[in-house]
This record gives sequence, C-alpha cells and structure tokens, in this order.
Amino acid sequence: MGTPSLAGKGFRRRNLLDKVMTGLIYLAVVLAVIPLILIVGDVVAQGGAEMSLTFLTHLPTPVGVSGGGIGNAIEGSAILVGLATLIAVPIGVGAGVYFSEWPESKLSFVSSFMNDVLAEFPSITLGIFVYIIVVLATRTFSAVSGGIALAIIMVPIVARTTEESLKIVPTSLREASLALGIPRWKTVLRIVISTGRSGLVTGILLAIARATGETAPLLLTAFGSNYYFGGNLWSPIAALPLLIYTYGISPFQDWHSAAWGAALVLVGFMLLLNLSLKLLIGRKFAGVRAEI
Amino acid sequence: MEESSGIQLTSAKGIGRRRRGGDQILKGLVASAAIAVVILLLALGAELIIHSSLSLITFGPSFLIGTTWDPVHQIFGALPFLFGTILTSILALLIGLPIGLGVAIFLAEKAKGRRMFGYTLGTLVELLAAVPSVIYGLWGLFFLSPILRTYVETPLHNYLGILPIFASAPFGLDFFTAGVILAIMIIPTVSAVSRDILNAVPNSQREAMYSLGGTHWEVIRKAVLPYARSGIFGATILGLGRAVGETMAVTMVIGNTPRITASLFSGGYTLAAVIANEFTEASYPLYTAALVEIGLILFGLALTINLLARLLIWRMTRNTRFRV
Amino acid sequence: MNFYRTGTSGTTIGLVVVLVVVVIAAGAYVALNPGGGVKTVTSVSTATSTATSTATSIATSVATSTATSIATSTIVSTATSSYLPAATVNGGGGTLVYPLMSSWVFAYTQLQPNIQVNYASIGSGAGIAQITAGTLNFGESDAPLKTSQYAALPSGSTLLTIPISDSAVVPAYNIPGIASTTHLKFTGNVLAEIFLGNITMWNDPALAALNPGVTLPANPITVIHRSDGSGTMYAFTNYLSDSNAKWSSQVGFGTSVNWPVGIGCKGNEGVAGCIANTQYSIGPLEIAYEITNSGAINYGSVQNHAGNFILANLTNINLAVKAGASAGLPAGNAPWTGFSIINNIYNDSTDTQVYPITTFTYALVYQSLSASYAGTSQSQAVGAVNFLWWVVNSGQNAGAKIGYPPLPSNVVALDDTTLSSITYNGTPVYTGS
Repeated sequence: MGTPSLAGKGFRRRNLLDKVMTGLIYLAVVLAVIPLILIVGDVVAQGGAEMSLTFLTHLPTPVGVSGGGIGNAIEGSAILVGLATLIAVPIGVGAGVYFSEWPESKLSFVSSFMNDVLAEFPSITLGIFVYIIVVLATRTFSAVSGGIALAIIMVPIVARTTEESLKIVPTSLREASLALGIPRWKTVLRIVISTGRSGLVTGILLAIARATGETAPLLLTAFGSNYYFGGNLWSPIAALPLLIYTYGISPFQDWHSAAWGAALVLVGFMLLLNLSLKLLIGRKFAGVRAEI
Repeated sequence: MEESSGIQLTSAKGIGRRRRGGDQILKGLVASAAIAVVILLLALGAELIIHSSLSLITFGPSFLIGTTWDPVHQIFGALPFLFGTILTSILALLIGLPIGLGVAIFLAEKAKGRRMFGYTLGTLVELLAAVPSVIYGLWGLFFLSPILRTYVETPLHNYLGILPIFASAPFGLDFFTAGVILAIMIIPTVSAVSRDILNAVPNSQREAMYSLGGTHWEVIRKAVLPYARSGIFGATILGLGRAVGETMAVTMVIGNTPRITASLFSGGYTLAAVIANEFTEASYPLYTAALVEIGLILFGLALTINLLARLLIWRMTRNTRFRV
Repeated sequence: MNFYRTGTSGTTIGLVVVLVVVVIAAGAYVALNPGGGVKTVTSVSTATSTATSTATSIATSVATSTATSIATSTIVSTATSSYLPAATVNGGGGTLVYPLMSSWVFAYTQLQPNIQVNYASIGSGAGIAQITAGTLNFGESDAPLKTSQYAALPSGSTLLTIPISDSAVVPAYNIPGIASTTHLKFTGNVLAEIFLGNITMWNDPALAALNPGVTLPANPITVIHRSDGSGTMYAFTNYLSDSNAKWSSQVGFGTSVNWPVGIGCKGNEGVAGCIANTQYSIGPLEIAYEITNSGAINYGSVQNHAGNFILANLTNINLAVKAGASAGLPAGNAPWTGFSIINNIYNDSTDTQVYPITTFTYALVYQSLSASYAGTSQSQAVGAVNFLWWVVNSGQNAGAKIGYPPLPSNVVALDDTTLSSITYNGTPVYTGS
C-alpha cells in the first residue's frame, strides 16, 4: 500500500538488513583474499629460506647430502613449455584465424565447438591419451611426449583468444583493405592480425602460464629426471611441478624444503606473468587458469 | 603493404590469379589448423573408447554402480570415485559459491565509486587462479590440513560427533579438506563470471528499484539477482566443472582410499585422483582399461557440466559481447 | 574475454615478451652447457665438508665415503681407467629401495661419469607395468611377478629377476606418550586384525596382553597403507595372509589390495609422512624410511615362529635372508612367482632370531636387449648391465649403513650368472670391466 516511509520501524529493519548484508559481502571479500595472502606468504616464507644461486643451478643430491638444487627442473620446465609453444602456437593461431575470418563455413562451426570441448578436457585424461599414442608407441618416456601433452592443453586457449581478438577488429578495416585491392590473405596477415596482435600475444602468454603449472599430464609422459637436459628430446626430463609433487609427498625434510623453494620459483613466475598480462589488457580478464 | 600503384594498372586477370593463389594458400593453411583440432578431439575420443573397451565389455553398466575397486581380484567399480568427485565438488560449491558471489556483488555493486580499490581487490582474487594446483596441494598438505584438523574437525567431531557427517576420527586428509581447497580454487572462476553477469544487468532495473525506495541490498536482491539468475546459475555450474576436473590438489589432501560414507572426515578418492595415482602401475590390460574408462567417465562428466554452464550463460548474455 | 587496447600496450607487450625470451634463453644457455659431470664433482666436495661437521644423516656419510674413495681414484687416472660410453639409463620402480638407489647412483656417477642412471620412485606396481610396456631400461620391484604378469610380457621375451638388495617391513606407529625406547610388540595375527578393522583401539585387550608393562592409550587406531602398487605392501600382506586365515581369504596379498580400512598414502615416503602427521596411527613401513625419519615415528617388534619378538635390525634381517634364501632360489630367467622369503621362514623355528617380514627387492631386465625394448641402445644396455653388476658386487656395503643388509654370497653368485647372460642383439653385454 502506498510509498514506504523513510522513517519508522519498517525502514529501520530494512536498513539494518541492508547493513548486515553489506557486512557479509565485505566478509566474503576478506575470506576470498585471505587464502591468497596465506598461500603466497607461506610459499615465500618456506621457499625463501632455500633461495640461493646454488639452489637454482645445481642438480638434486641424494637425501641428506647438501648442496643440491632444482636447476634441472627449471631448465626442464622451460624446454617442455618451449616445445609445447612451438607446437601449439601455429595450430592455435591458425585455427583462431580460421574461426574469425571464415566463420560461415561448416568446418568453422564444428571445429570451434570441438575446440571448446577440448578446453574442458581434464588434463589427466590428456595425459592418458599422450601416454598411449606417444609413450607406448616410442617405448620411452620423453620430453617430446610431455611437450605434446602441454601443447594439447595450450591449443584451445590460443585458438579461443585469437578468435576473440580478431573478431574485435572492425569489419570496416577489412572492407577498406579489400576495397583498395589488397588480396584477402594480405588483409588477414598484415592488417587484421597486426591490429589484434596484443590480444594474440596475451592469449599465447595465458597459454604459457597455464602450461607451466600443469602437473598431471607430465606424471604420465615426462617422467622426471635427476639430470640436466642432455640433448635428447626422446629422454625423460625434469619439470618444476613434477618435482614439487614428488618431493612434497616424501618424508624427507630437505626434500620438503626443496619443494617449497621450487614452489616459490613457480609461483613467482606465474604471478609475474599474470600481473604483466593484467597491465597488458588493462581491464579484467577471466583469470589465468593455472591448471585444471 | 603493397603500393596501390600496381593494383589499378595491371590486368584484372593477373590480379585475380595472384590474389586467389595467396588466398587459397592462407585459407588452406588455417583450415588445416582447424581440421587438426577436429582430428585431435576425434582421436582423443577414439583412443579413450578403444582402450577402455575391455573394461566396458567386461563390466558393462555395472561399472558405474560397482562399489569395489580390487586390483588383486580384478574387480573394478567406479562408484566410490564418482561419489568422491561429486561430494567434494558439492562441498566446494557450498563454500565457494557464497564467497565468490559475494566478491562479485562487491565488485559489481559496491566498488563502483572506488575504482582503484575495486580494481586491486579484483586482481587479488584473480591471482588465486594463477596458483598452480600442485602448489595448492603442497599448501593444503602442510598448512591447511593440520589447521583444519586441529581447529575445525576435532572440535566438530568431539561435540557433534553423533551426526553422521562428523562421525569418523578426524585425520586431516579427507573429503572436508579437499572440499575446502577446491572451494578456494573455484572462487576466482565463480566471481569473475558472476561479475560479468551482474555488470550485464541493465541499469534500468536498478534505477527502477531505487525509485521505489529500495535499500541497496533490496536493489541487489530483488532487481539485479533475479535478472541475473540463470547466468549466476551458469557460473555455478562452470565452477562445478572446474572442481570436477581438479587432480593434483585433491590427490594430495583427500586420503586416497575408495570409500563411500556419510562422514566428511573420512578419507576418500576422486575420479581424477585415482588415475593420477594408479595409472602408471596398471600392470595388466583389464586394470588399464578400467582406469581409462574412469577417464572416459570423468570426461563425460566435465563435458556435460560445461556445456550446461555455457548454455545458461549464453542465454543470459546473448545480447552482450561476452564470452567465457 | 574482452580485449581492449590501452595506451601502454606496445611497451608492455615488449616488456613481457622480453621477460619470457630471457627466461627461455637462460634455460637454453644452461642446457647447452653439459652441466651434469661438472656439477656432480662440485657437490662431492661440498658433501665432504658437510659430512665432517654434521654426521647426523647416514646417507650423507654413505654417499661421501663411497663417492670420495671412488672419485679420488678415477679423477686422477684418466688415461688408464676406461669410461663406458655415454648413456642415460632409465629405471623405475619400488620406493622401498629408493634411498639406497639414490646413493648408489650418486656413487656410481663418480666411477662412470658418462653413465646417468635416472631412477624414478614410482612404486613396484608401476615398475612391473612399465618394464612390461617396454618404456624403461630396467624395472625395480619388491614383489616378483605373478603368473598373470609373466603372461602379459611381450611374447617370446624373457624377463630376468635379479635380487639387488633386501629389506624389512616394520609396523611403524605414532603414539604420543609412549617413549621412543619402548617398542610395542605385535604378532602377525594381531596385525592382521588391526588392518582388517577388527581391533580398533590401541588399548584393546589383545594388544595389552602382548605389551604388559605399557600403558596403551584409549585412542582409536588410524590405519595407514599405500595408495599405490607397492612391493612393501606385497611383503606385508604376504605376511598377514600367512598369519591370519580371514585376511588370506578376504583380502589376499599383492602389490595393490582392497584394504578394508585405513587411509592411503602414496609411496613409502607418503606413508611415513602420513604416520608422522597423524597421532595414534599405524602403518607398514620399510625400515630405511624408519631410520632416516625417526622422530615422531617409532616401530614395533614382530613375533617369529620361534616365539621371539624381534625388533628389526641389520643382523636379524641378514639372518632371515640367509635362512630364507639358502635354497630354492629360481634361476634368473625362471619365474620367481612362488618365491617368498617370508613363506620360507614362516614356519622356521630353528633360526630363532630371524625377522619374519623380510623381502628381497629385485631389478627386472629383459634377457635379450635390443632397440625393440624401450629403444635401448648399445650404450644403454652396457650402462644398465654394468651399473647392476656394480650394485650387486660393490654396492652392497653402502646399503648396510642405511639399513639394507648385504646380499648373501649365494645370491650374489646367482645374480652374476644372470647378469652375464644378458645380450644385446645377440652379443653378451657384460665384459667384466
């Protein structure tokens, strides 16, 4: 009945409810931020104690022998992600360009849908796939199989972001270019892609960030190693997340410390990359998903 | 970039051929990339089905309701893992959804006047997503699990132990801890998507409610949230999808025993965790096939959930330029 | 995701790309420097100095004493000693032997710097599975293959079983309030009842009867076991099956069983960690993990057939191995399915001081190596066989210092015969270096 009065019992109750709910909302924000502070804090506290040039460059030593390090794991992760990037970027960017420039074709529709499905694949099942078709077929755990597994994870991210960033390029640019008689292929390469290039680079970096943190598929493919990369990509190789997992569940104190040190390196890299991406796009993006 | 001088002056036929050749090549190259994606997914599906066929044939549909996982006697059933996956995911949603939604409401509604503060907070929440799963597991194993065991599980067990959900002796590595870790991991997903959904609600809705004299909470509750309902539901399902596929963090804190029980403080197992633990040691074909079948189930579950989420979100944001 | 170009995008892109390139370049730089040999020598000298100051960790002293003595002899004489050709040998398997294996590898690399043995502690079950799949140069397992596993091997191939060490499984527990000098007494039957879930409290009458002088707490027992396939569990469940008919029929024994109760932790490492983190828990643990980890974890004695409660140590494990492996050893290329030290000494009342839960740990290698197994190259075959020969003959004393008794001489002789029979493309591999 009528307009609610701005004074009196009814308003006081509603006002109180408003304040309580506002308080709860603030509480939710605090609860969301606390774990981040705790995790980063713990990683820095535990891992910081391990940090040294020795730690970053030496090989692991047996339990109880000091002077060991995670040098091979850092190198191994770089090689695996580098390999994965080499495989994933051509395929991902190519597919993304296709989805964006030829959206009307049936292949585009089907492939785009499948790309989305691929993005939702739990990474452990991708590990099974690569184990079966690469590890069993070549009879060895290898850096190649690890790189392929990571590449499969990266392709959908790269393809999606490429498609998104190219779609934003105004059609008028394309039309103007074609109207000048520039062939379509040059239009796509020189104009569309160069206009959308920051989005492209962002997508690639997002994918790199995701791949660096992946552990599950590497359990079944890269296998881990106690040595530096010896030049043979068909040999097992170490990786930071693998090392963190193996050392973390061990009962040895010095391995726990090494795991925290490696965690610091990994988290440091991920945060740095994320913050740079944040600067890059300016506004929010849907989060760099480290791993599923 | 080609000089325009050459274009008008050369013959149309020459241009056409050169243009078509280049176009053809580019289209061919990128189309082959798109085809590669299709082939990859088909190969994935085919491999999973082929390598689980032994188990599919041996156990049939009873695999989904079998409660025994006994590699010694070659009896395999997926129900404990399905149970664990669903239980931990629901726990994650129960805890993570209110928090994520609260953050989203804060960022979309309350932080409007204070851009820098909202921006910083939003960044911090998104950084939660930047932490790899294995580090969540490491932190959960050494920090969260003992804290939860001492300050949450033990008191709950001591005082409310008659309730079945608190009945077993608190160990720290159990469904409960796994649920909490998963909740933290899905907060960024839920909040990011929900914030976009809430931002997509037209201001006219809010203004109408304000003009009726509503408090800010009433505006949110009666004007914004109902409009955004299906989108937020979609964000929830998306969070659920992420939780279902999580492997490393879960396997480090869940206790790794196949168990179906009402108690949250009991150890358990999930679909993803059992594959991670047992796949490299499946020493006979039926064992491998059973694990691949678990992978198939996991994929099916993740796919269904994510398709549902996308459908809901797409319906909500059809008119805005928004894509998850 | 929405993308907007900001004013800073050019510079920031550049910065980020440079950052990534620098990281990858640093990795490439390190990769191009053959880091392995140089750095190992550095860590030997570091280890020597730390060993003198901190003699706490046994593994340190083992590694340095074997390493320095071998290192001084080989580094000086480069002309006369012959290094084997470079190879990376990939092995994987049981966690039981992992502390010892890592010391062995460390020491062997001083002797043969070109041979890199890459061993991953993935569990005995995985060791068997991966050698069957042909993805490793050698597997390692505390459990011999079962008949069905022999059947799953590639047709026409022969897998050799080579005992490389032995060890014992102890009932480890974490009970605050019981002094570390007090070792609880268990029988096989009582252990089986605990792991079946029939005995649920620490002050159960059955346990109290075995431990009359000890005040057992009124707390529930948390059972801990392995979540992955394990030779340690194989040995333990073997013993439980011998001791308790209910266990034998309900659960049986194997590397992965359907545990009636308890929490699963991955690897011996995981079990040790879980026990250390959980008060009033009990779990089967390999003894070397007990020694290097003693703090919160204590272990109990087990009754043997002679009626004595034996607290596992080098001496009684050694006696058990000698008694259990004195006869009836299969040939290296024969199936080892039925062989069990535990079964052999279960009814042994003459050897009064044997520790009942004792087991071999085995290396698994194919007899006829070629590129069709794990893509094995000639140099890998040579490296693997020579490493295993060194382990069986020269590496046994290293194990003694960290809780792995040396193999009896009859077993060493058997292993030497087995290793000599390995061929690569038809030619015998071991030439006696």
